Amino acid sequence: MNEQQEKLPEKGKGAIVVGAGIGGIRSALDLADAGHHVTLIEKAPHMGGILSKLDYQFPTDRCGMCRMLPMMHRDSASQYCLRRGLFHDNIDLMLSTTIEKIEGESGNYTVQLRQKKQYVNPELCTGCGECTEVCPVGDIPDRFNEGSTTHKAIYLPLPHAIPKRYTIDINSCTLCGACVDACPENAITLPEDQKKNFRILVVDDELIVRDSIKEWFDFEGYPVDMAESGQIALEMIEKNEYSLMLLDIRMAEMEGTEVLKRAKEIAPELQVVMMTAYATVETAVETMKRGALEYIIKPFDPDTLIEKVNSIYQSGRQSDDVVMEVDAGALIMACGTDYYNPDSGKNTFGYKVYPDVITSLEFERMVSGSGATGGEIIRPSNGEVPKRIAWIQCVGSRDVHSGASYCSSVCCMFALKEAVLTRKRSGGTIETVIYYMDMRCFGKEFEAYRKEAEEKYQVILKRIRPHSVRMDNESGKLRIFIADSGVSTSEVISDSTSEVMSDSTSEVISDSTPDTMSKMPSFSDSKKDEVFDMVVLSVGQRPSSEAMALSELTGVPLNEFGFPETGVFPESALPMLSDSGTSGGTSSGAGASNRSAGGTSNKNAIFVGGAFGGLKDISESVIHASAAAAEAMKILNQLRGNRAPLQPEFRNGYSGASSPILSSEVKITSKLAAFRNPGYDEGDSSKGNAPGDVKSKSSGSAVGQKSSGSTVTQMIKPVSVEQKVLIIGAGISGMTAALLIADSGYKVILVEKKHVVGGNLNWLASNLNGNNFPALLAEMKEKIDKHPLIFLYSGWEVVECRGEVGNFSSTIEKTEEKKEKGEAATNYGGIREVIKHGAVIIATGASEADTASYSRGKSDAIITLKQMQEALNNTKTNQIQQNLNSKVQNIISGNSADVEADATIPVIDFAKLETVVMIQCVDSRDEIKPYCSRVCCTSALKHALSLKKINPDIDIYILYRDMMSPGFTEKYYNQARESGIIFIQYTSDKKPQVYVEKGNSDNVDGDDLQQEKQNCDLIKIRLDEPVIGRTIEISGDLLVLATGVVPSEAVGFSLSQDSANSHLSLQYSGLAEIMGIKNDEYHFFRQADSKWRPVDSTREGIFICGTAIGPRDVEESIISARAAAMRAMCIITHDKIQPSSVTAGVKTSLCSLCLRCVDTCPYDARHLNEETMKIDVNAAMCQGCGACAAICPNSASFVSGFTDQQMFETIDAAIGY
Amino acid sequence: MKDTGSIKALLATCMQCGTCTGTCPNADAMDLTPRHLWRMVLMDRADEIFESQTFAYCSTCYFCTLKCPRGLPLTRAMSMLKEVAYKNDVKTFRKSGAFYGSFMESVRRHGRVRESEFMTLYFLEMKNPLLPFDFASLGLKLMSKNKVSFSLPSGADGRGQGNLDRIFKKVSEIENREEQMP
Repeated sequence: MNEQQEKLPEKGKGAIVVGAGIGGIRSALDLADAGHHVTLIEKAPHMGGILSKLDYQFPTDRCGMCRMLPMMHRDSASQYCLRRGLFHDNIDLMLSTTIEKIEGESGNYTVQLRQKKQYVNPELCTGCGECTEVCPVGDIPDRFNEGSTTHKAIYLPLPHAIPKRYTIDINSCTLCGACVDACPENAITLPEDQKKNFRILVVDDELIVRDSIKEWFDFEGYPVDMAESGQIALEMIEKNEYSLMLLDIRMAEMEGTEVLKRAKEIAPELQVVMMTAYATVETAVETMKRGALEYIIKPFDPDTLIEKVNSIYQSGRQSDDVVMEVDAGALIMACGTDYYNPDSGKNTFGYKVYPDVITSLEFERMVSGSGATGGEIIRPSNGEVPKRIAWIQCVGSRDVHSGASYCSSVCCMFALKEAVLTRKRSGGTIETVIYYMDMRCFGKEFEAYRKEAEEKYQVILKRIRPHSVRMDNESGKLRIFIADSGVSTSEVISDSTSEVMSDSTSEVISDSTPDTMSKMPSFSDSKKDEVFDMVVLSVGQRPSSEAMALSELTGVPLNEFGFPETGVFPESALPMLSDSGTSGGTSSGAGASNRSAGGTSNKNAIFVGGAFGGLKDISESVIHASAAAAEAMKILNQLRGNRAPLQPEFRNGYSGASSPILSSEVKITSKLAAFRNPGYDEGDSSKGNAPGDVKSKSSGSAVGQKSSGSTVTQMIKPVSVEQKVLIIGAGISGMTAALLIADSGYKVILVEKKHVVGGNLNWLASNLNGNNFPALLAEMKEKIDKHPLIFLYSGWEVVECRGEVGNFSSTIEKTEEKKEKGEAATNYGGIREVIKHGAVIIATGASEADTASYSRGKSDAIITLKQMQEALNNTKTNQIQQNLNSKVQNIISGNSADVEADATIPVIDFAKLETVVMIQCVDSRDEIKPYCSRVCCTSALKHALSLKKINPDIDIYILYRDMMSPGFTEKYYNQARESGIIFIQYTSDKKPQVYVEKGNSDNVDGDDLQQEKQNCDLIKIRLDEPVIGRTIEISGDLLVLATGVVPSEAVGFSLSQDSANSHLSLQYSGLAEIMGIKNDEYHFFRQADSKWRPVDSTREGIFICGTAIGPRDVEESIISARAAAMRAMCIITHDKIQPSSVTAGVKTSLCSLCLRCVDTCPYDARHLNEETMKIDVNAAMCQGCGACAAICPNSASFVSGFTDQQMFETIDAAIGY
Repeated sequence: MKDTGSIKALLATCMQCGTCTGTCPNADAMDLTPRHLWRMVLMDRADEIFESQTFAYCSTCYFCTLKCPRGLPLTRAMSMLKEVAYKNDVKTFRKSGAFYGSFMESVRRHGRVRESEFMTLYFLEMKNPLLPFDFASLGLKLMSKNKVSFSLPSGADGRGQGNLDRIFKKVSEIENREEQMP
């Protein structure tokens, strides 16, 4: 380790990333890619975190973790399955390591790390496994398989890891030494058996107790002495040195407490455990005060005592661990999350009581090929294939009894994926039922996945919460008890609706005492039970076990549930304490919080990344990790000053991808260490010994050959990089990304189509948490204006983008010029500028959709969420309030001429409203917009709570399908219900019906102010209440429609109120075409991979962030903008891109120009050069995957370092041919 | 006045998950399930609530309270409904009310229940001469197992041993005070 410390000054101050799960890997890779040195530490003996256990991820139901690997400078990192391992020139991976101490301040930390002693030398271990065969200690539950399998004391923590690093579970090891003898490489060194030095003195006046304790510990290998009285014990302590005394309290001659006191005088270091049959709190406290370590009550069973003594022994012998100090400029904590243990609470589901009740994680291990059953879905009780499996959602989430009133956000999709997987695997023979409360599929593609699960795979979803599981003793099946509301609801409802329709004198739910509409025989709800073969509990998330300790070390505050706070907003935008939830205005003096501006924690250079902040899925964790890396990058770049980034090593050497087959026969040895040593092979660049470091036992002929390097040298010409970033769109995302990149020292060209920057923040006054957005916007604007490295072009747009990653050339045009010349797109005479840049970030955002559904346009009293927000903003300016006060009962005045407001902004006197109805999912999650817009439910909650604050007597009804209040926003959902807001669920096939009752039918236009008194429209909403099982009618003064989010790319619809069928007239501006990237089916921008590369577009070098990717709130947009900035900086931080040595090429003489390789290339690295009529390969974009070589019918396409002959021989060897 | 407002406030965070219905051992006997009933309370449908007998069937087992993910005091809410029904002499609750009333009357007199007196009081209250026959078989069964004590009913003003007049008076004072407070 000293060696490393010496090297550090050369590399510059690096970062420490805590946790090598998916988040930590992402953060580390980003920083390493951008040329910073990273120390990646992990508590567990293997990397990969929770993702190493999950084989399948939706929406593809596959893994795709390798897609996180660097696309540029590939030679600096390993290029094989990331679940197996990771090497990078700039990353030091330290397993079994924790943080001990952090000293110093921002940018200058000295961090003390403690690495557990590695008894198996990873440099020497070849993973042959002979040690495991001889190890006599078995039956240790395997954490990797969630305890469904066992391992020995020497074992592989992660069976698929490369290199295979055997580890000793030192707590279970008996130090017999069998493995040392068996190891052919002499890689194992066992610690000295210190148990022999751990002398125990047993003091008890009962012989039988002394004897039995002696016997137990003799067996465990501890030396034990006995004393039958206190006096004798003290004499023995004076004579000999003891590590531990087991001391009885009640003894005839001398009381134990007295013995304790005197013994401590003689030997202060002696550890004492008190034993007594007469336990009182007083004596316990008394003895603890006098220095006793523990207090155990007789009778005790041997296991309890031995375990206790073992742990005392273990805690005393940490001296084997390696403690080292590392200097760091920044620290990223990405320790992930833990999961709820259903065993810990009341456990009414019978987890661990009934063998067929398992957690979702255990199920995940069951379907995995490396799991206990090898991927077979079977009942743990009897090994039979189950016929029916139930998933129970919200186990340990949204449940006050388990201490988690929050929603864990990920379990809904988790369960859907598992159910789909089960249906796929079983060919539809296993019936799958998911019991849920709200199916929270709030991501862009989640709703489609849910739909597919329900329709294509026939996963049954039931909206009900089971309370317990009981097993039938005879059949062994599991019985679930539920309330059932599915008693032919549709039938009842259609009857009642017609009744309602015909009944003109129907009663109406008025403001304060809602009444029944129709007297239907209403029996919709009943008690039921259902029988299953297996039950899977969707366990919720819990804070990482490391959160508490790290919080103490770093000062990062924890929230009420114990998750680290991720303060995304600057101080000026924090909610005002007095008025959270509705804070508006521009005062920026809310300084009560201790979180620092811009950072994600309160020490300036300590950041929270990945899922550590809680309740995030893979995609969000990856985004958060990149965002944290970006923040760290800013600090590190400022520290680095003018020093060049760590350049990726140039070499033709080993690249992990070059060994496509890693069968058990082929073992990568400790020579990998050589790969990590930057000094090697530098001089001889023509040596294309691609898979040369793969040592093979059986097929040395296949691999290990040196391939001809002639083509290699031609390809590896570095591509120079234009170190500037073009950012399109200056909303909150664009501005965040611009500031971050500029603060890191790079130039930014910020292009905004409109003449004002800020995007949606111009009307969005706050979020649910009450963050002050006007203040945020003002601060951002000021910073952008003043920053010398940001060049803002507002009123310009991008019309052309040529070039490739690192070297783009874009044309921007002034939008004004266009307008003057008319709307036609044939104007090429506008003012234009050409910009050269190395990367692009698209942050064009999204806007609110309009709708023609629910009588929208027929009354001024039907508004959208955005109009609602604007109206709420309006009330905060007093003049309008005063104006309204003079108008009695002027509830709504859409286009009042005397009010100084935008014509489209309704002016509402909220104090006079009586009933407000909000309909969620308008045109969303259906054929018009098949995705969930994510922000509408929280917006509705925000508005409803604001309204209640203005006017507590107001009746608010929120009609929803699934309340999407994921994560900690669940709190506000509860608050809303608490404040008396009524939530009614409807289904997509039974939407509410809206009727407008005009106040005065003679005067429809409503211009006349005198008439307005009678002209208040009444909106009647009719829908079925599922619990009561009846059709009810609500009369509202105001109807707010959650119309959802559409990409800003959509042009051609207006918010004017009489635009019928607005959604049908959507057109798209075609930015995707200009930029050469792809849209998804919803006209947002397509991510390169929704999970693993969530801010990358389909074209290398172009990144997307904010709502341009898909609906997300302001906080998430800011985070994604930081992530995109990080990804862009990975490219522009280097002045050259060094293509990988392993890239594809074409033997033109053999090529028949069939273009199959062009179509098949997943990275768009190939195209037909029409001038030369040859296939060109872009070496920077080619990832060396070999798809082109495989598909080429003429063997014209090849990957350097791999000959056909070589591949065939390798395959033969692998299959044992 | 059948005011369920205070009960509604107790139940505000209910999310209609149905755990209460699923847990209720008496749900099958109820005309409305607990979830249904709570929904009615939240929607201020006092008339329908007191047409139902659901709350009378609550045996106060506390299972729903124990399991409610929102931690709502459901058993207490049931008792509050019973209270409102008793005070307003709701028709559907009259029988149960008479039962509770007779029980408490016996307790007031002796500090414990005297079964025969309790039954007599109940039959008198119900004013149905045929009612005792409905209970005949149950009564005989209980008598055969020595579960019914035969002491003569004492007068309402009986000052026998264990008389709880003063406690009852104090309780009603406190209750009245609490009612006047808001």
